[in-house]
Amino acid sequence: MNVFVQLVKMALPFKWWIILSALIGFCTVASGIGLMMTSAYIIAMAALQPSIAVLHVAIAGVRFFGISRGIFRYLERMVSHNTTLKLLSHYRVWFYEKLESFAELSGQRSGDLLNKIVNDIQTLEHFYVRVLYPPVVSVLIICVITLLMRSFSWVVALMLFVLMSLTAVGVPLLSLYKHRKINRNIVSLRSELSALTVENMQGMHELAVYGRIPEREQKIDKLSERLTSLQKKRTNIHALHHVVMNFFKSVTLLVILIITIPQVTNAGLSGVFLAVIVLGILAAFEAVAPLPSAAQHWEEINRAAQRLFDIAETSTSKQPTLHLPDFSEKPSLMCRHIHFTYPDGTTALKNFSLTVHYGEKIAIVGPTGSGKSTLIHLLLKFYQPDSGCISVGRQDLLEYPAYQCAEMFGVVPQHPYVFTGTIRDNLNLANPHAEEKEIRRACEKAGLYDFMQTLPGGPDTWIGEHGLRLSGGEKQRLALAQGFLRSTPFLVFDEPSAHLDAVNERHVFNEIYRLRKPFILITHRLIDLHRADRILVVRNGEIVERGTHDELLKNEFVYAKMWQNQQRQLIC
Amino acid sequence: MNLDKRLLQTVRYVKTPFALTIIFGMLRAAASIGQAFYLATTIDAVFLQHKTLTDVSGFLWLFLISSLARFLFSWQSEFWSVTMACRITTGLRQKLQHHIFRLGAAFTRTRQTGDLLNTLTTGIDKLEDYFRHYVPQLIFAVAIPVLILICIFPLDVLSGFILLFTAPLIPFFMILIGDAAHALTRKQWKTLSRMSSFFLDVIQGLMMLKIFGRSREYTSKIREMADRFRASTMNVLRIAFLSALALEMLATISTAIIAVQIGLRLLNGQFVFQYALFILILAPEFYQPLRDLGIRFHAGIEGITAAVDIFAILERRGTISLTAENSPEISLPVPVYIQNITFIYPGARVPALLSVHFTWNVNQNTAIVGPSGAGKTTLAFVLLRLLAIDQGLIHLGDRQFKEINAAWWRQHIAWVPQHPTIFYGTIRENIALADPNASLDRIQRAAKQAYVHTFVQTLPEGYETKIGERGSRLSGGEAQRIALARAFLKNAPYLVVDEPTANLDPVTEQNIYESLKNLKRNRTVLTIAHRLNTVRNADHILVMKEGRIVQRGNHNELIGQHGLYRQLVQAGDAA
Repeated sequence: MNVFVQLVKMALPFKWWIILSALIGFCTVASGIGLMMTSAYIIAMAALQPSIAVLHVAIAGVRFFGISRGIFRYLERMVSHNTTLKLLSHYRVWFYEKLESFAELSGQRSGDLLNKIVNDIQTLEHFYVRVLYPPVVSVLIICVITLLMRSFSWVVALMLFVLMSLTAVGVPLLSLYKHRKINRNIVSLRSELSALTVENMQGMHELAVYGRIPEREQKIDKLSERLTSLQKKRTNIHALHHVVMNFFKSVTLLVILIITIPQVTNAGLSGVFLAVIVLGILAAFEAVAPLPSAAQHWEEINRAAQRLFDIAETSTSKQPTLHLPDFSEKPSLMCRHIHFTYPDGTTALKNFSLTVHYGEKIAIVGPTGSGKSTLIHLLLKFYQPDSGCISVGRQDLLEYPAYQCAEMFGVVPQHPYVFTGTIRDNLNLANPHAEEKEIRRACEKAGLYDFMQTLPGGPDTWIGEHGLRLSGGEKQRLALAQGFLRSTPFLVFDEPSAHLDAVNERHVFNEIYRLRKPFILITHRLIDLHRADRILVVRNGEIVERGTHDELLKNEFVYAKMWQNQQRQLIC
Repeated sequence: MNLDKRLLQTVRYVKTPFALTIIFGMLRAAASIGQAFYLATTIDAVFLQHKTLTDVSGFLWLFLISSLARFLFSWQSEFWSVTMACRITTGLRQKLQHHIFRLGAAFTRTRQTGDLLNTLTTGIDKLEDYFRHYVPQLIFAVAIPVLILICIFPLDVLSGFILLFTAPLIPFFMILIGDAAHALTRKQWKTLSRMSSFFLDVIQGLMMLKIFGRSREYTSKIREMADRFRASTMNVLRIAFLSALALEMLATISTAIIAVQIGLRLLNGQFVFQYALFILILAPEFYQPLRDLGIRFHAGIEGITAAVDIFAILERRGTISLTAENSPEISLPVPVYIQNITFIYPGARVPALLSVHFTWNVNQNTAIVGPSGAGKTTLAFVLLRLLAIDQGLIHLGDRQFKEINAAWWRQHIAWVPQHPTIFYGTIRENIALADPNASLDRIQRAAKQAYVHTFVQTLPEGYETKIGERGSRLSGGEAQRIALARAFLKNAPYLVVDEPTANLDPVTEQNIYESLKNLKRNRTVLTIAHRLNTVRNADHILVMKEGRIVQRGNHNELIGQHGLYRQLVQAGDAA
C-alpha cells in the first residue's frame, strides 16, 4: 500500500486535472444511464397513451443525453490523455533527477536493465487512467444511481447499492487472488526463456560446431510450451472475470426484478418505473466493468513502481558549489592510502597512493581487471573511497559536488557512449564553447579528422542511434577528440587504444605525450612509456612497482615481463 | 482491414478452435437476445397486464436460464479463442527460433540480440492479442448485428431500417476518420517512441554526461522534450479521438431516435410495448460488436507490424542443415582446397571475403594475420560451415564441401574462439559441451591439458560449480581455458583457433600458449594469429587485408618482402 500512497503523492501536483477528468468520466457514464432511463420512460409512458405534452421533457432529455454522451466521451479521452502525458513527463524528470544524483547506476549497467527502467516508467503512466480513475468513477456512479433509485424505492436502492458494491469489490479481488501466483510464474519463466535465448544467440556458433543445437531447441520448445500454457491459464482467468462480471449484472437485474415486481403489484409503484429502473441498472454497470482489469494493472504497476522506488531511494544529498582551486598556482593531485571496495564486494584498490605534480605525465599499467579504472570512478566521485583521501591543492575532493569534479578532471572513458545525433552534437557535449578551429585541431589529434572528411556531411553527418554507424575504433577516436576538447586542468585516459589499429595507436599516443597538461594514462599497451615521468604498475588493486621505464626494465619484475610479452605480440 | 495473408494462413492449422470460438460467440449473442426478450416480456406483463411475481416467475426463470447460457457460451468462446491464439503463437515462436538457428552467423551478425529477443517475446505476444481479439471480432462485428437485425425486422421494420442504415456508417466513419487517424496515430506512436528513446539515450549515456559535468542541465531538457512531445501528441489525439466521438454519437443518437419514434407510435396505439422495450434493450447490443472492433483496431495494427517483422525472418533463405545424415565415406584428414571464394554479408556493400584461394594442408599449421576487419573471422566461419559462401568452391579432398552434410563435418572440427561463450550450468557441463557423454575422468583429463584443472579444484564444488550468465562469472583467461578443454575433449582432426588478445596475467598467458601448442600437435590447424611466436612457427602464413589474401608464405619469406607483414611485425617491435 505504501507504493500506492507514494504514487498518489506524486500525482498530487496534477490533482485538478485528475479531478476534472474523473468528473468528465463520470458524466460520460451518467449520460449513458440518463439516455437509457429517459428512453425507457418515453416508451413506458407512451404505452399508457397520454397526451404528447407529457413526453416533451423526456424527449428533450433523450436528445440531450444522446449528444452529451459522445461529447463527454471525447472530452474524457482528451483530458485523461493530457493528464497521463503530464504525469509521464513528471515521472521521467523525477526519476532522472534521482538517477543523476546517484552514482553507481551511472557506472556500468547493461542497456537491457536501463531499457527495463524506461519500460517501468512507461508502465507507471497507466496508474492513473487504468488504476486510479476507474474506481473513483465507479464509486461516484454507484452513489448517484443509488440516490436515483431511492426516489423510486428505498429497498431497491439499498439492494442495488449492496449488489453493485459487491460486484465492484468482489470480482477484482477474485482476480487479484488468482492472478498473483500465475503472474509470478510467468515472469520468472519469461526471464528464463529470454536468458536462454540470449545465450543461444551469443553462443550459436559454438553450439553449432559442437552439434548441440537440436537439444537446445528441445529445451526452448519445452520452456515455450510451458510459458504458453501458463499464459493460457492467465488469459482464461481474464476472460472469466469478464464473463463473471456480466453474469453478476444479470443476477443483479433478476434480484431487483424480484424485489420490484411485488412493489408494483401491491405497493403502488408505477409500472412505468419498472422499465426505467431496469434499463438504468443495465447502463450503470458500464462503470464497474473496467475494475477487474484495474486490479490486474495495479499488480503490474505495483511491481514496476517498487523497482523504481528501490533504485531512487539510494540517492545522495546535494552538495553546495565551492570555488575551484586556483589552477594558476599549479596545485598537485594527491591520493593518500586509498582503500576501496565496490558495493558488490570486489576489492578494487588497496593502499593506493599517488601524487601528480602539476605538469607531470603519469602512466598506470597492469593486466585487465587489476583495478586501474577504479581511480577514475573515485576522481569523478561516482564512488567514495572507504578510507584514505584525495585532494587537489589543499582542498579535499569530498567537499566538491560531483559535477565540479568533472570540471577538474577530463576523462576519456574506456567504453565511451555515443549519443544519438551528429558527430558535432557529441563534440559539443564535451565543450559547448569550442570554436571551429579547436574542434578541427582536437579531431586531428584524435585521428578522427580524415575519417570525418570522408563522411557526406562532415562533422554534421548523422551517426545513427547510439552511434550505430561508427565502428569501435571510430567511437574511441570520437571520445579522444572529446577529451582533447575539454578545458579541464587534468586529463585522464582509460585504455585509449583498445580498439585502435597499430598506426592510429602510435599517432594517438604521440599526441597524448605532447599535451602540456598533467595527465594520467591508464593502459595495458606499453607504448612510448619512456616518455612518461612515472609509471605505476598495478596488480590486484595494489601498486607493485613504480619508477621510470628504464628503472622498471632493470627491476626485471612484473613490468619487465609484460614488456617482453608484448614484444611477442602482433598488433592486429 | 489489418489482415495479412500469411497470418490468415496460419489460422488453417487451428480450424477447430477457430470455428468453436465463432460458434460459441454467436450462441452467446443469441442468449443475450433471449435475455433481452424475457426481460421485456416480464416488464410488459407486470406493467401493462398487471401480473404478479408468481405469474411472471416462468419468464424470470427463462431470463435466468438465458443468463446462464450466455455465461457458459461466452466463457467457451473466450476459452477457444485463447486456445487458438496460444496454439498459433507457440508454433510461431518455435518455428522462428529454429529458423534463426539455421540461418546462423550471416544472420545474427546483422541483427542485434536485443532486437531479436524483442521480436521473439513482445512481437509474439502482440500476435497472440491479434488472434485472440482482433480476428474473431472481425467476424462478430458483421455476424452479430445481422443476427440482431433478423430478430428485429419481423417485429418492426422501421427500427430495423434505422439500425441497418446507421450500422454501415460506423465502418464508414471508422475508415474515413480512421484512415486519417491511423496515419496520425502511427505518427503519434513514432513520436512517443522517439521520446522514450531520447530518454533511454540520456540514461544510458548518463556516465558520459557526468564525465562532461553536464548531467544537471538535462533535467530541464527532459522536461522540455516531454512537454513538446505532449503538445504535439495532443494535437494528433484531438483528431484521432474524433473517430471515437463519431462512433459514440452514432450509437447514442440512433438509440435516442429509436426511443422517440417508437414512443410516438406507442402513443397512437400503433405499437406493442413488449417489442418496443425489447428493441430498446437490444439497440446498444447491436452496436457493441462494432465498437469493440474499434477498440481492437490497435491490436490489429500492432499484430500486423509484429507479423511483418516475424515473416521477414522466416522468409530469409540461406539456412544450413543441423542434423547429421548419412556420413560421406571420406577417411580424414584430407586437405581442404579453398578456391576463389567470395562472401558478402547481407546488407553490406563491400565483400568480407574476396577471391580467397589457398590450400589447407593436412597436419600443418596455417596462420592468418591482418588488421581488424580483414576477413579473418569470416574465413574461419566459412571453414566451420557457419556461413555459406556466395561464390567459389571448397573441396574436402575430392568432394565438394556443399555436398557434405554440415553437421557431419562439424563433428570433425574443433574451434577455440577468442571470446568463448560460457553457458549457464556447471563447469563439467560446460566442458562436456564437446561430448555430452564424456566421463568425468575424460573431462578432468581435458581440463588438465587446458591448465584449468587446478583452478577448478580451488572452487568449493569443483566441477559441479555453477557458472555462466546467472552464476558467478569467470575471468577472460578462465573462459579461454574452458574453451581449450572443450577442444581437447572433442579431439577432432581439424582445429580452428582464434588466439586471445586480451591482456592476460603473464602466468595465465603462458599457460594458454603452452596448452595451445599441445592442442595443435598432429592436427590440421588454422590459427588467427596475434603472436609473433605463433606466426614464426607456422607452416604457412596468409596475410589478409580488406577481404583478400595480400601475401602468403612462411615467416622468413615474408619478412624479406616489403609489405603488410613486415609492417605488422615492425609495429610490434617498435612498441
